Amino acid sequence: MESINVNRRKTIINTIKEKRFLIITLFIISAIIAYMLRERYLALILCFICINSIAVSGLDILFGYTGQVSFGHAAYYAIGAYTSTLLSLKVGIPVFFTIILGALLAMLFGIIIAFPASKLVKHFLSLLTIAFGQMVYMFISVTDKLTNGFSGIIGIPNLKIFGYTFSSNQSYFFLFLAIVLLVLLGKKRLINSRVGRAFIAIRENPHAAAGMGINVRYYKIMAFAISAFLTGLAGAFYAHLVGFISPDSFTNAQSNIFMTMLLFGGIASLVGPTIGAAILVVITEIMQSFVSYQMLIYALFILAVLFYLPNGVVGIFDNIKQIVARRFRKKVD
Amino acid sequence: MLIQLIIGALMIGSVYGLVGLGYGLIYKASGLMSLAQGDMLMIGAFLGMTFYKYLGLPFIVSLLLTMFIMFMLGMFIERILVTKLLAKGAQTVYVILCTISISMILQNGAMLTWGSNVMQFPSVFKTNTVNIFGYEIIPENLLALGVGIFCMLALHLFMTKSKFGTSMRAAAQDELAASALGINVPATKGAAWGIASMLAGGIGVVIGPIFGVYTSMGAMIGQKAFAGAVVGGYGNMYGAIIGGMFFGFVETFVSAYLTSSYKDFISFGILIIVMIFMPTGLFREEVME
Amino acid sequence: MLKLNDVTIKFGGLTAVNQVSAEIAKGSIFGLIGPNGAGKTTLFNIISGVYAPTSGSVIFNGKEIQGTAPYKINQLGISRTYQNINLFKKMSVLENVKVGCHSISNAGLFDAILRTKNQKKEEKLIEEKSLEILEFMDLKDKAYYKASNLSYGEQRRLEISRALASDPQLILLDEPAAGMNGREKEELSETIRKINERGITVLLVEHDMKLVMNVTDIICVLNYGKKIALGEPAYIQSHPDVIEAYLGGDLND
Repeated sequence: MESINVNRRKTIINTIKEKRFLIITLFIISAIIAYMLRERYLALILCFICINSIAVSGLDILFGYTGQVSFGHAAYYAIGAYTSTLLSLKVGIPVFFTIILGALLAMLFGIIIAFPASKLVKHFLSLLTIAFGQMVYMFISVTDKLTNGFSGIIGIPNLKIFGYTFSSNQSYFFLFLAIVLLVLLGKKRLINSRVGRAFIAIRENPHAAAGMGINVRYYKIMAFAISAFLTGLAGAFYAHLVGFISPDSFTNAQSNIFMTMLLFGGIASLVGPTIGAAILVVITEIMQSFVSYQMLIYALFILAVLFYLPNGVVGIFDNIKQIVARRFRKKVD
Repeated sequence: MLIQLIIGALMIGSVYGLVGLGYGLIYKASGLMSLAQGDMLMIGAFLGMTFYKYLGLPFIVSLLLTMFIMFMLGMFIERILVTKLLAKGAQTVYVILCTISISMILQNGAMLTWGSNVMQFPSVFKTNTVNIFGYEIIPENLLALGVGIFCMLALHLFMTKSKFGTSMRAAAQDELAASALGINVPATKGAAWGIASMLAGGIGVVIGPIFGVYTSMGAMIGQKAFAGAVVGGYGNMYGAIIGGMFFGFVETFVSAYLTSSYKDFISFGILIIVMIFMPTGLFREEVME
Repeated sequence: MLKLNDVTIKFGGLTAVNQVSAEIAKGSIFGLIGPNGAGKTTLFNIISGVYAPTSGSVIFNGKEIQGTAPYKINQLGISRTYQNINLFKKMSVLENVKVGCHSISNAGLFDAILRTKNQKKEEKLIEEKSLEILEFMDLKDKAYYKASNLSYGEQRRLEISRALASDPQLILLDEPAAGMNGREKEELSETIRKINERGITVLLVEHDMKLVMNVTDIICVLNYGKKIALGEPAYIQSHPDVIEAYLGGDLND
């Protein structure tokens, strides 16, 4: 009897939370839409936030939830972007399919890397992911015939769905926003499921996880696959949004930027990656004229998180929430 | 042709070996990994160039001064940043992140100080080439090779013969026992980081005249050195030298006989293959869970 | 139910477990004791799949299982606790037990993302089952605490709860009383009996003699990796080799 009560209470709380979450997001979205319909540039920035948020959410599933680090996520971003670009431009496959194929190829590479990676400890996993990132970067830089090398590829076609062509930043934004919300919903469901619990258990204690019947290697590989898929998807979106790609966008530094966004926003949290992406994209835009300080600022962000904000910006919110809740509880008492 | 190639391979191999040796030293002493080693080399090159070219100091003085500063910098990073981070209970992966951000700061700092163009490090010797057994060889290559070998031997003697070196090895094997014997374990760790960055900085000064000095010069060398350290057996200092030499030869001969654009791609490919099939490297150290 | 046939494991030159044979009957409480370094935990790790024996076999329900991966061992119906508490610290108490249900559920990635009917049903069952186990182990009021915020004794109980969640036929308890006070130990004996009453066979490694003598049906004594005695508690207590192994018989403290 009592257990049912606890259950019901929890479900009710969850429903309320979910509804509140929905209402708040809808409110923010409508406010943003009202504003940006006049601002093309703003729409582009919002698109970048969405794209980075998808990529970083992918990284979060790998690093935040499963505890496997990757310093080479730009590789999957590049694979998604170049695959979709080349298939649509040179083979002529409709963009909608090439985006999916790009994400799937990134996922395939994620799985291939995951096989050896799932056996390595942190230091060596870091190195393996860096090496893979470098290999992909070098490949796209020097394979002139296929990727046009350092000059990059221009004239990447726009996405077309059911005869509608996404030609403006605004239209892309609506699409990306919908996808970000879908990704967040999927991530939330995943984390609160049997699979998500297996991920977290592996992060917390791989030996005990195996003792509880979890096939650690299988789930580590699965986390790599999901992560690479999302980051590859983001890469493909990036290519079609901007219409131009070159190896410059897929360097080691890009991997570090993803990591900075994740750490700064808040690791292993639902909205942390989005918040981190938003803050860093905005700061990068504001700092456009101080571009030579960009890496320095990212580095200071990482150090700030490491030393003072272990849970990122989301952690600050949580702390405030806890303080408020404590005050509130005191008053009630 | 072949002799020049071999000299070139030995030279770049000893650069990788020496930088990789630093990784091994850090890992042995503190069980950690620094990804800023390549940038230590870059900073060393810039400092050396500044002393030699702009302050007009003799080359050897510039080299020693740079090595001293780099030693202090490495020690500072370990003592101030890494130790503090570990005291907060951070996992090792966060130390790696910390060194990544240090590497970003060093690169960006160097760019702000010295600019983003490739700077020329004036040649050390008056002649452009020396003639050895009828082969024309660039003397700076020989200098780099010589300094590389000298540093390796000096480090070997230091670690095996000197009291502090023995303490370092003891502390690396068993911290608790070592500190019970009165060894200052934190000092040995700091010294290991210091020596690692000193070696990288020193070799940076020596290769400055060969490759020029620029902010991203360390990144690739650092990663190749790392690859060498892994192939040699991570944490094994002598393995790092052999691994570094291996990659020196691979890239020299690949670019001479196969393809120069794909040489780095192939090097990293070899690294990944080694990590998959022989994760302990040639001389084993523990890497598996 | 579980049979050990001449199980031997060597690490380098050291023989940690040397030709140990024993049979654990279904429904019994089987004690495994021995001085420090006798090879108890190593034997445990062999049964739970962490180590593969150098020679000999482990037979569970008629099937050889030695060298099987730990996660498969759990799926076969053997679950375990750890001597040095190995909880998922940042997860809640309830979630820890839910992870324990992994082997008896099967929703995959797509079930989770699409939130299929089966997945929802399964989640509900897992939740109910986990709460039931927490109630059984007297931890229900702590269900939403972080595992790391529990007291030491509670953490030990959570370890057992988590191991119970996979509906094991055989549960391996690795020094569950370590660090407990007298009252907690008494409660633990009670709990072990209650677990046994649920039809679960118990294999208990324990230092605390009183507890072992109290609760087990049959005891195997290891010393230097070798079995030196096997029998009922009364027999073990008076066995000369056992007394010698424990140096003058502090068996009764």
